[in-house]
Amino acid sequence: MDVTRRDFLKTGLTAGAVLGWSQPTLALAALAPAVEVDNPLEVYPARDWEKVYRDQYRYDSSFTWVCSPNCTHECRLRAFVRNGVFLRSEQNYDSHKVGDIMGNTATPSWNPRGCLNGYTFQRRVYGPYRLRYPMIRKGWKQWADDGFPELTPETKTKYKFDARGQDELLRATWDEAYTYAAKGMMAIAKRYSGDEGKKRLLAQGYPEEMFTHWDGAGTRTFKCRGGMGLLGVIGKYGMYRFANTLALLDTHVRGVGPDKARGGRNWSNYTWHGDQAPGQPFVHGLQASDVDFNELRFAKLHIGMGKNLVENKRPDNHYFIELMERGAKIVCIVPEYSPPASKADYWIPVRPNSDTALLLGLSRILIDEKWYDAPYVKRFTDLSLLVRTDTLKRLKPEEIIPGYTQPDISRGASMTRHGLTPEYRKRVGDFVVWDARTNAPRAITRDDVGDRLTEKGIDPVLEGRFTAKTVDGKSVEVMPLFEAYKIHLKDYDLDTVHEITHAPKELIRRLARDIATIKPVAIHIGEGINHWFHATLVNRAAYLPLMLTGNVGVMGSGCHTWAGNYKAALFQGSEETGPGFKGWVAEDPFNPNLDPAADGKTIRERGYAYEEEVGYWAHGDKPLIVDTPRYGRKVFTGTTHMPTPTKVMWVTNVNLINNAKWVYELIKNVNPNVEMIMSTDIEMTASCEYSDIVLAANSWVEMERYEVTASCSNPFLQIWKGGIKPVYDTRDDQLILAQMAAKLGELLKDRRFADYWKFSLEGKTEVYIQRLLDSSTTARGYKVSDILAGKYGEPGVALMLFRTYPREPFWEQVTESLPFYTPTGRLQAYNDEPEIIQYGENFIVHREGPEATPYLPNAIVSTNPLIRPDDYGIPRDHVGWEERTVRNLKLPWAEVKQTQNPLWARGYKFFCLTPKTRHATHSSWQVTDWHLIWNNQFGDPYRMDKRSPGVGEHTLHINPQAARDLGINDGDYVYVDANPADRPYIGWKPNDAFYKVTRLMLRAKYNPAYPYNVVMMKHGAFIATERSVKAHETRPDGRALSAGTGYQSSFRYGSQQSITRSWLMPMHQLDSLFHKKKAHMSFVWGFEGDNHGVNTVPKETLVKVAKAEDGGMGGRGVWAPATTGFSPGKESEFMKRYLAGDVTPVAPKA
Amino acid sequence: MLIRLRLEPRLLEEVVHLELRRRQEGGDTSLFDEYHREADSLYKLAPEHRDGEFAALHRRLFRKVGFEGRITEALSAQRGELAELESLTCLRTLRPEDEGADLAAPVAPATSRAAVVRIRAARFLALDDLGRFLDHELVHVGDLLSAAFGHDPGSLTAISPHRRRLVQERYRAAWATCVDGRLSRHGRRPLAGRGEHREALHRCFPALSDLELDGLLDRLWNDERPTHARLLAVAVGRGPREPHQPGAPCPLCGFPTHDWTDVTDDAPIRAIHLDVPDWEPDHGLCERCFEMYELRSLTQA
Repeated sequence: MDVTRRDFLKTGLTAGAVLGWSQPTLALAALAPAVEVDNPLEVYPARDWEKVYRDQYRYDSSFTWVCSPNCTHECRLRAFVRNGVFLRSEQNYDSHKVGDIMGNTATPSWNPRGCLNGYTFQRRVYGPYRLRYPMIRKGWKQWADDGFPELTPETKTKYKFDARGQDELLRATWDEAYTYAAKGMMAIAKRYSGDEGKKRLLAQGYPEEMFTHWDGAGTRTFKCRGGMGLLGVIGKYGMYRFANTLALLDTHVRGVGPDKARGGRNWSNYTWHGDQAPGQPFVHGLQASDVDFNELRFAKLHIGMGKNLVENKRPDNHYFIELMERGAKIVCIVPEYSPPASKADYWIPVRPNSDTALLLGLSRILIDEKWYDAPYVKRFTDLSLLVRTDTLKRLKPEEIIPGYTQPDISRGASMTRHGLTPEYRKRVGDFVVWDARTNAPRAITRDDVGDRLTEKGIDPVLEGRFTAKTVDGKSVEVMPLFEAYKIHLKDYDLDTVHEITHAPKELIRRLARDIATIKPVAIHIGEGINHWFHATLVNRAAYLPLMLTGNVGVMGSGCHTWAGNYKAALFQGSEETGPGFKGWVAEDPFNPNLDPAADGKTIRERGYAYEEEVGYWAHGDKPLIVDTPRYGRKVFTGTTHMPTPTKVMWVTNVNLINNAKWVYELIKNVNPNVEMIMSTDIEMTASCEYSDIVLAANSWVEMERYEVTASCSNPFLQIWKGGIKPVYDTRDDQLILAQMAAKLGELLKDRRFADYWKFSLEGKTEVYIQRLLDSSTTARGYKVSDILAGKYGEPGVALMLFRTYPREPFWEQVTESLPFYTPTGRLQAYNDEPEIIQYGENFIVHREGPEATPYLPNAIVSTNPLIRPDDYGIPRDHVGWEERTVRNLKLPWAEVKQTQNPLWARGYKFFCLTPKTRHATHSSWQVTDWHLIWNNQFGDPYRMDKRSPGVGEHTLHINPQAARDLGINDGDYVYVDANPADRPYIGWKPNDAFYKVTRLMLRAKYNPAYPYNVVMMKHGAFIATERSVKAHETRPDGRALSAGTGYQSSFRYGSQQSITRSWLMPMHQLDSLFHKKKAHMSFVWGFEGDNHGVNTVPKETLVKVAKAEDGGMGGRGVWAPATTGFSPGKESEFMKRYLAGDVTPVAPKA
Repeated sequence: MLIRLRLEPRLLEEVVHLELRRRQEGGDTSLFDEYHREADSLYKLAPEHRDGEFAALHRRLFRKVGFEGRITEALSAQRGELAELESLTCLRTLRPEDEGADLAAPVAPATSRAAVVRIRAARFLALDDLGRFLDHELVHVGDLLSAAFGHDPGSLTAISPHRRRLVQERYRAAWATCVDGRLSRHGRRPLAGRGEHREALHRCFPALSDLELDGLLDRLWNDERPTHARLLAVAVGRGPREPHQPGAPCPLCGFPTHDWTDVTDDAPIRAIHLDVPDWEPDHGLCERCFEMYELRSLTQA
């Protein structure tokens, strides 16, 4: 029967009426007096309708999946499915069941897992911003169809390489996308190979140094980035396997064999995000120190520096609260009265970018008051080693002992456990202490730490100055570094530290006393202090009080940082186990193992790709080379770090462009020189908008192949795949990589490409996962099939095989007297690498930032005669950013405080903090409806004020008095501008249409928690693009929703990156730094991606804030909520009384 | 000549629904019932035929409740000035700032003249307001059609982009004053009174003294035969040095600014002129633009 909607409704109503009156119970009840109804449930009308509500949680099936954004938590959630639709997710409450091979199980306190991100993931899977199919940029496609002609200014314009943001993205089939991309790769690799390639690149202005790792191969201009690869080792880190695959392409392009072939460059993640604590490798040699979160419970004094363990680390920050329950004292060191500050026993407010001075001040008190742990200092730190005051280098035994030969340590821990090679052992050398028992210098090796030192009968002195006779007959002054630090710390007396940091003196003393008297002490740091130019110094400084008081290597102690799930070391290889992580990303593409049953230990690793910091691309695609008055052209980028020109970029699972500091400089001035940009993602991001090829990936709940992950903040090893069919024409990210490689092989008629990805192409990624487990120190012994069968708890989960639960860094060093991963084998307070001495940072010293300071940029605050920096002849008033970066001027605080940063003088008087938000994970979830609404004070699903870019918008938090002084009302739109010389981009002009896109305009919110000169804007929001601004200005509803792409911006104009820029810290580019490799038990000198390389520092900026528009509806008057008298910073008299507790006065007892 | 009236279906639909709701809330459900009697049966039609029938229904009711009559009344009142007009199209818009009339781009035959009025549906709820709006906008259309008025869009595009926005705002305010002055003299109610126009002119010409402002208002209000050239002259005219209005757009970058800056040094002025030759110090600029040009002048030096 053909029933219309109208007929249906009529029938329904009529039938309902008849039925109602024909029911005897109802009829009787209707006639009976109400007072006689004893049990209303028996007589009231049928309640079938309630079934609708009860059934809303009904499901047909469920499955578990891992919510795997870059938050570090990797929460396993349970998804519920009805009619094939993923309806919702809940906590799985499985953590207490998870065990390991030895029978250990995890603590139940890991339950529950998940947060508002994972619980709303279905809104992203089915949401409006989802990528639905592959796309190719129209201009790029035309360029390809025209045979990839050489890019000149004219052709760049013709094919819109200089206007990607204004071009169209065209739908493509997967085969078209792969074919176009493969042809592009082949053409570009050919163009930039060999002599002709070099000639072209030189003509384009790339300096000669950038050919250091190019080696004649065009494939080395390919930059591949798997976004925080640990989030999915196969699909994300798999991008680096693809970079290794490119060596096969090189053999076709240049006709070379495997010996000369070169793969692409692996772009970094952790360092690029600025997530690393870059100073930590200088202190202990490890990439980073972090603990499983349940380790927090052991601390008795918890010091948070720039760390927000209330708002962030969502599933696990209950461990921070548990500290209180367990009687720990909590101290918070941050500029603003932050959420954790409100939970702290005391809060030490500091001037942003001055924490190093505070830590040095604390250290001085600990030494002056003799509150240090002398045995620990002697056994585990370098403070007992002798340093020469003439050369500033550590004294070497061969300098004072004629015919000295290095003792055999081949059976020691360095060589048997840490993978120190004989060559490296020779290069690292030995050290000298002054022995109190013999009153003479004694040579020690890097193995002589802890009990090993005691066994030798050596008791190093910590104080005193000595004269050593060198083998060539000279007398040189030497002293233990402890003594040298006493000289050094004279500059950091309490009054000076107070002046530098603005921290109250009594609280500094109180903290020093607490560190000395409470054990264990832990310092937890994060982006709060890592996002400054001199993070290296503050990271090193954070260890100093801990080294002095024996607070490293003990449960509940240490200095730890979490900001990004970076830890490839969780799949660490070793001599005993095999290549680990490298067996996946760097298996030899010329000899891949095609046996599905092969043990991972047998996989042959050969890395043809070479890592590179993304930071160079973000710096105009150039290294740090400065024309100095004293030495002329000077290269500050170490050889090991040297980038190559960027011609192809392929990123997966990262919003690389959106999150790039100085993004508009990149879009305007850098990316037009990049010939192919590819993004693999699940949603339409700014990175996709500015890409040439967009590849649509399956989400975590749609994945059709197994994936594996782990975490730097919990012990869970997890394998999973999706439980619903892909909603759109999307594919697993690992399959996209594999099929891309296979397409190259198809076009080149070379089977090796497909072989290299054999098990991904066959849908058997568990083969690769098994190999990974086999060959890692942390997982050998596990079988994928056992884990998936639930042998260790919830199917898919097991515990990583750690030495301790919770995982405690350096527990072995302190408990078993093993060397740390530094040259000296000890925790280092001193660095004598030649570049570091030149930069004046051999001691841990406070430096003003190169930009974010009221004082002379980059000044070294010291009078220590053992600091002898080189300023390269750069005048003190030079304001160039590269010159400021490298100029090393040592000045006493008394002089520094008389200076002024020219920017500060021009009104750029606000430090701009850019922390994480609790409502998103970096750029993930930023525009998901509920998150965009709740992420700010201006969320409005109805968008009553049509100026709003979406259902919410980005916000600047500002001190109310500072705002009032600028004529800014609560809720007004404001401009936030940084140095006009280079931001938003170099060469901007007011009448440039792109400038309109890039100038940051957002809402201001009064927030009394922030000091006068500090503003705060969360990071990760979706930037304004050319399309989104056009949409905002032309759509009737004013939404910043790009036509054609569906991209939603969080801003009307500009972004949080309008005010940031790239900085290339010389201290991050050393060739001489000796430290542990990140994912193997062995060592490296100089660069290693994500380990020692340029970190980005978005906070290193000063901004000016100016009113743009009234905050009231439609731009008229004051934003209504600010007129109620109840909003912070604009309280009515009543509200002030309420806050003062004066509304309900309690009469004193008589 | 008969003027063809075209009404956008979305406008008709929204207007009819607003009117239905207004009447229903006032207790009169007769139109609501009539609408549903006809509309409900349309769901029986095949989907591809429904839109057309709904549009016809909306048009019928639109006419029935007198909205169309109000439009034709406004057209009749100015039939002399609109003699050349072939058609008038009413389009729906959402924002007040998007409302207004304009001539449509000529189509074949090139001589045909068509006008477009963008209007919010809510205007139809107050017939008096609607009438004043239409009267006002149709006078604009009349001017546009008038050879004596001499409308020349090219003359605006000839003004440099950095200044065009300001000139457009002034032009709009001046012209609107002329239109309402004429309407009031002809016994019709203007869209805005003299007081409101004075305020608008003050916003656009903040430097004028009260006396000068009153003089300008009189001149415009009483101008029976304004011309494009005269209005443009008023808009681009530079009186004495002007204090700049907080929140007005910077003539260089176009962003609204509350931080106007004076430029006295030659070097930044020279740097600005390299990019914007017709900018003059009296035009002012925002602090951000000033900083950028000051910096550039230092670099160039």
